[in-house]
Amino acid sequence: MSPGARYRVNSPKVIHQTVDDEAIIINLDTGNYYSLNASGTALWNLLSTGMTLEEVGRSLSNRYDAEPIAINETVENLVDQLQKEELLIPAAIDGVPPTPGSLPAAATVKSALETPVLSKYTDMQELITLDPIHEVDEAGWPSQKR
Amino acid sequence: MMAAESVPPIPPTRSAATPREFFEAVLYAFDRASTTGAEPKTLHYSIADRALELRLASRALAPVLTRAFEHLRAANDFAPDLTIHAWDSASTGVEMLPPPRAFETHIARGEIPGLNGEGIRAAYQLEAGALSMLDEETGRAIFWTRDAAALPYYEASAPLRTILHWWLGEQGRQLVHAGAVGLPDGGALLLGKGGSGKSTTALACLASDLMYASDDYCAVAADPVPTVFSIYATAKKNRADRVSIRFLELLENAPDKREDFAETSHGKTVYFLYREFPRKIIIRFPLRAILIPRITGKPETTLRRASGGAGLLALAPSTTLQLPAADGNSFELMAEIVRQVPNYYLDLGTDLSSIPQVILKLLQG
Repeated sequence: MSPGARYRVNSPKVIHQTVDDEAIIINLDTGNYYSLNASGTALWNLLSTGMTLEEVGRSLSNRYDAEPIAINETVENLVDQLQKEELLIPAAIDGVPPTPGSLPAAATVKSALETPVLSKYTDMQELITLDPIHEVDEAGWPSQKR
Repeated sequence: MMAAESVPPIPPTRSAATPREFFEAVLYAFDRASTTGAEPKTLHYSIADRALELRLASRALAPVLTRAFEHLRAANDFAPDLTIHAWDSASTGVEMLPPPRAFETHIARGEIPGLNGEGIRAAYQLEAGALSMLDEETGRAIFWTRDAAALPYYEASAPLRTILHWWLGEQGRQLVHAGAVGLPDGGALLLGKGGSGKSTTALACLASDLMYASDDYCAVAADPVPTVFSIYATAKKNRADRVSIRFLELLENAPDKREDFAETSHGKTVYFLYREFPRKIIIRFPLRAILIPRITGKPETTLRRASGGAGLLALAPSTTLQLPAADGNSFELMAEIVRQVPNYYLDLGTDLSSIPQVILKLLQG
C-alpha cells in the first residue's frame, strides 16, 4: 500500500460509533456488524479522518512502543481487513475530498502495541435479506406466497 | 363522517407521481373508505409525551392496532402531533391505488424506491401486505393493509411500528429493540436478540415490585436525561417457553381471560398485559442501567459490569437492521444512551424469582 494512501468510511451504508474505546460498526447493506478492540478503534478513528497511511503510522508511533515496521504491518493488515469487509474505501474514489486529520501529540509514556482485532457478527444477516417478490396483486402491490 | 357523494373522487395517479402526490391520493382513498361502512373510530393516545390520533376507517383493524396501546389512551383535548389514517380493503371495499411505479424483483427492509422524498416516507411490509407512509411536514400518516384479518399475529404485539419509528425519530426519541422494567424513579433496559432471555426477564418482573414497560420495543430519549417510554404493553413468547412463566400460563387458560389476554398463532403467543396487570405497567422512567441478559443454566442470577461497547453491540444492530431507514442518526442516539448509564451483563439463573430481586437491588442501591 502506498504511504500516501487515504481512506474513508464507506458511508452511507456503513455507520459507526465509538464507546469506551470500542468501535461498533454496522454495514447496512450486508447486515454484518463488527466491534474493534482498543488499538483497532484507535486505528479506525485515525483512518476515518482521512489521514494518509504514513500519518497514521507516525501517530501510532507517538502512542505505542513498537518498531516502525511492526506498526506499518499492523496498519496495513487492518486496512486490508476493513476493505475486504467493505467498511473502508479509498478516499476520493468518487471525487469526495478527504477530511485531513491532525496528528495527536506524542504520549509521554508509550504503551505496548496490542494487535487490532476486528470481530465480525453475522447473526442478523437474515434481517436485511432481500425478500423476493414472487407475485403482485391486481393493483401491483407485492403479495407473499402462503 | 362525510356523505359518500361529497367525497371527491380519487384522482388518478400518473405513473410518475411524486411521493407527495401519491400520499395525498392515498388519503383520498382513506376518506372514501371512511364512508363505506360503520362510522370510523378515532382514538387518542399519549406516546412518549407526544399526542397521537388514530383514525380507523376499518373497525376490523381495531383488535390488531389498538390493544397494545391501551395503557396510553388519552383524553381528546389537545391537538395531535401525529394523525394516523388506517384502513383495509377487505372490510371497506376500497382498494389501494396502484404503486406509482412497478416494484423491483426484490424488496429490502420494506423500503420502496421512488416513494421516499419531499418529506414523505414509505415502506411496504411484504409478509403483512401492509403499506406505511408518513408526511413529516404535516404530521399525517397512513397505514393500509389488504385484509385486517390476514395480518400476521405479531402485528398486534407491536402495531404501527414503522410509522412510530420514523415519527419518534423526528421527536428526539428512538424506537429500540429492547425490554424495559423499572420503578417511577428509575429503571433498566434489557438488551439482546431473540432467545437471549429478554422477554423472560421482563415477564418475570411482573411477579415483583418492578413495573413493566416493554419486552420487545420501547422508545428512548437521551435529552435532557436518558428516559425510557413504554409504547407496547404486550409480550410475545413461544408457546413452549410460556410454561416457565407459570402465572401467565394459568391466566391464558382461564376461560374468561383468554380472548382479552392472549392470542396464539403458529406456536407463539402475544399477551396483552394492560387488561390483566394495569397497575404493573409503567409508562416512563429515567434510565438508570442497561442490562444484557445471558442464559447461564446456573440457579442464581448475578450481575457483572459490561463495557459501553458491549451495550451498544447488544442494542444497535438489532434495532438498526430491523427498522426501515434506521441510520446514523438512530445509531448516534443509541450510543449517547449507552455512554450515559452503566452497562451490565445480567447472568440469568434458572430460579426466575431471583431475577427481579437482582434488578431491584441494583436500582435501589
